[in-house]
Amino acid sequence: MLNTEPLNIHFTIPAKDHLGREEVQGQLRFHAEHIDLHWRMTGNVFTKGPSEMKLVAIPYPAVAEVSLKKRWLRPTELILRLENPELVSEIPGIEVGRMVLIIDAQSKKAIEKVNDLIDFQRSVFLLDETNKRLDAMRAES
Amino acid sequence: MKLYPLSFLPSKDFLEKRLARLLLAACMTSALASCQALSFYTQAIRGQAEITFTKVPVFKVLQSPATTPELAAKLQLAQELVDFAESELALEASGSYRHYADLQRDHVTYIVYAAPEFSLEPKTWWYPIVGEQDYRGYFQKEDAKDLVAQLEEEGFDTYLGGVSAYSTLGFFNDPLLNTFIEYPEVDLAELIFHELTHQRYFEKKETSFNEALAEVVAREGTRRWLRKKGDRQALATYELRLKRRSAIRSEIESSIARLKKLYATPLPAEEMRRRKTAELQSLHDEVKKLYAGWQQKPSHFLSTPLNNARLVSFTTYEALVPELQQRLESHDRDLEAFFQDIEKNGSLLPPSP
Repeated sequence: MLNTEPLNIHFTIPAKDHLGREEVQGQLRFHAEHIDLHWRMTGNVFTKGPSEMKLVAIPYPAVAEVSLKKRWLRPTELILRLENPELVSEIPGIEVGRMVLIIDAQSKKAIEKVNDLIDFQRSVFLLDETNKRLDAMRAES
Repeated sequence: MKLYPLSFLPSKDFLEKRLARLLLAACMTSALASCQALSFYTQAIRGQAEITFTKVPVFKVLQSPATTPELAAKLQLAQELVDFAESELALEASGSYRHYADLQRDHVTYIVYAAPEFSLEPKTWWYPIVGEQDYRGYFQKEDAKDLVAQLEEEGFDTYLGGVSAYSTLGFFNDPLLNTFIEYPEVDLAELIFHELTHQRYFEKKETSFNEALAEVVAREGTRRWLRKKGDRQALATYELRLKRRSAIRSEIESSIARLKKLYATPLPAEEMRRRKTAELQSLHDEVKKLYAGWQQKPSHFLSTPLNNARLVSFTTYEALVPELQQRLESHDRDLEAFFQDIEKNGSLLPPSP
């Protein structure tokens, strides 16, 4: 049975350069209506630590694609593609709304539920939308 | 100095791709090795494993608050040098020098050279994959000392040196090590360009050629690095240093030529020994004089007793440098064209046009 309690997933977006200047750490929190994406730059000895935490709210319908990539002896990747890339345009390491998130070991169990949860929430949203349309049509007739 | 030991523990990064190759190599080694050789490979596996499991990605080191600003600056410089080597010197790091390992000791390996008492032909050892080499490397000094004792008992001249860096020829992602990260900028540049050259080209059984090639590319790379930075003063100092290095080499080569002539004569052993000692003493004095003239502190070369093995270790690294330098000039210093020439012709290069 699907568990609808909020899920927390901790992740990293690796930097493209070898000095790790733009590595991002964050947390995805899956609520009933939307996903909270908290993120900050990891920082290093040059930046004297991490940057301030920022928050992006992502509604479920904005998620165009979700997939999990598991590899032998490598961390699991959660790939999220958003309909509107502008939502996450400020976060480094994201290409046109496509986020490849490296899942921290502590979130290994929680990540298993993400796919189903997003599908479920999208279904709820679509169902709501359909009901709204039906209600509107009924009202018209 | 550089060393190319065989080691069979996979880097975590390369595990999937290379496991099959490693197992094959390990099986070959076990099948071919004698007890003594097996013990050599065991320590090589242990030593490489230590490096593999100690290394940490550079960005992780930089994220640690325990990292000192000095180390952070050096690691940043090293990354810039590797990027420069990849973009400007026709070299490919393939993941090397993107990690750092603090081995908590001064040298990563200890290398043993040997040559007969009256010959400058080095004793060689055979290794799987890389073939015959003029030296034997150990991760523990005690193991190297044991070999030195055994070789001296057999009548060989020996030289045991500490090594700061070595290349696994791209077999593993070689990390930056605490044994050399504190080098001055020019030395660090030379070292990284030198080692990456081995990853681009390495010819079995051709130690002298491989080392000279790496030296030529390292010098060219360092010049270009300093030029790019616009550091004229450092470039002038570097050119002066190369000139002085060349003057010392010239003294050593003359001495080697005289010794070769001496060893070819049918003199009795006692007389030959006396003349050999005199020649080596004269070389020592000449080199010391050069340093005195430059008002410079004598190098490591004078800190150990000179013998055939010490000279062999020197010829290994320097002998073919002028020829290869000329070859590079003939390609208008175009490193890609130079490498293509080398890759096509190997160590049997046709005369420079």
